[in-house]
Amino acid sequence: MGRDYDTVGVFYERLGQGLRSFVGRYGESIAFDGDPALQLSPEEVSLRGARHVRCLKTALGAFSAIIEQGEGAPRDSATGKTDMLDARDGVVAIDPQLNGPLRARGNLEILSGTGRAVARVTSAYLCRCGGSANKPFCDGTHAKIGFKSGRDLPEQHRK
Amino acid sequence: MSDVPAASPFEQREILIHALFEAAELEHNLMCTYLYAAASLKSGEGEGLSAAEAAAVKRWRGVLLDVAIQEMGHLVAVWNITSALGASPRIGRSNFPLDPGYLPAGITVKLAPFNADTLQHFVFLKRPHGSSEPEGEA
Repeated sequence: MGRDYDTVGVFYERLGQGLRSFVGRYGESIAFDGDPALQLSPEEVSLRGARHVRCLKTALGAFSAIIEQGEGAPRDSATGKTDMLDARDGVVAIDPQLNGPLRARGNLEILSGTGRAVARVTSAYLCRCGGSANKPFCDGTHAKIGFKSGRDLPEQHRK
Repeated sequence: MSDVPAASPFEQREILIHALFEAAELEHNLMCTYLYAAASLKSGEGEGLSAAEAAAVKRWRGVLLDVAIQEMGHLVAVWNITSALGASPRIGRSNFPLDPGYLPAGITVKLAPFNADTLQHFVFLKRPHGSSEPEGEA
């Protein structure tokens, strides 16, 4: 595209911005004029990228999936408490909270995608709604966005 | 660059599609580097590894193949976006080694057998924007 970029993530962010401004100028029906039947679908390929793109939202979603999956993620989790734990390994208990995060207890070493230790703790609430601004940790956003954890919880966690 | 509203070159379909072609080639080439590194690993005790080493190497190969498959998923996503914009997906790439200047100076994509430097190179390629992760020496 005749422009330099420092990380592949930056390249995709620019592409996403470009697409947004293209659609902003011409509208979705003109921008997305390809025949949807020519796209690869989940029925044909079991790859995460095989999702139909029909509008700006699905196209931008596809770009962010690529960026988040590590081609230079735009942001990384901050490093928290990383002193060595008294012990490593052992049992980890994971309790889904109703309409909320996963509560994990045990000897936890939480790593970023690049392998950097984000936290070494014995208890953590991990985001399950996808909306936390402090991922991988819960920041209470699930309550604001009305996250529902569904009916898959064991009976004892229903309160 | 976005200060002048009418001037964004991306507002032309052709330029967006060329950028998507570039993205497709990039994903395809990246996938090759992970496959090459995975294929460079010894395949087990028959090739002189101890049982513990063979188990570790098998695990590494699994991780590298998972990343290669992720790149294939990215390629499919890029193809679908290209197709949604009314163009034909770009299937093709430059052969390795890539010509100098083919990619921006900061992005090195080359075939290398698996070792600590190659691993660091992969970590560098996938680093978050703004990270101080160093490039591998290989």
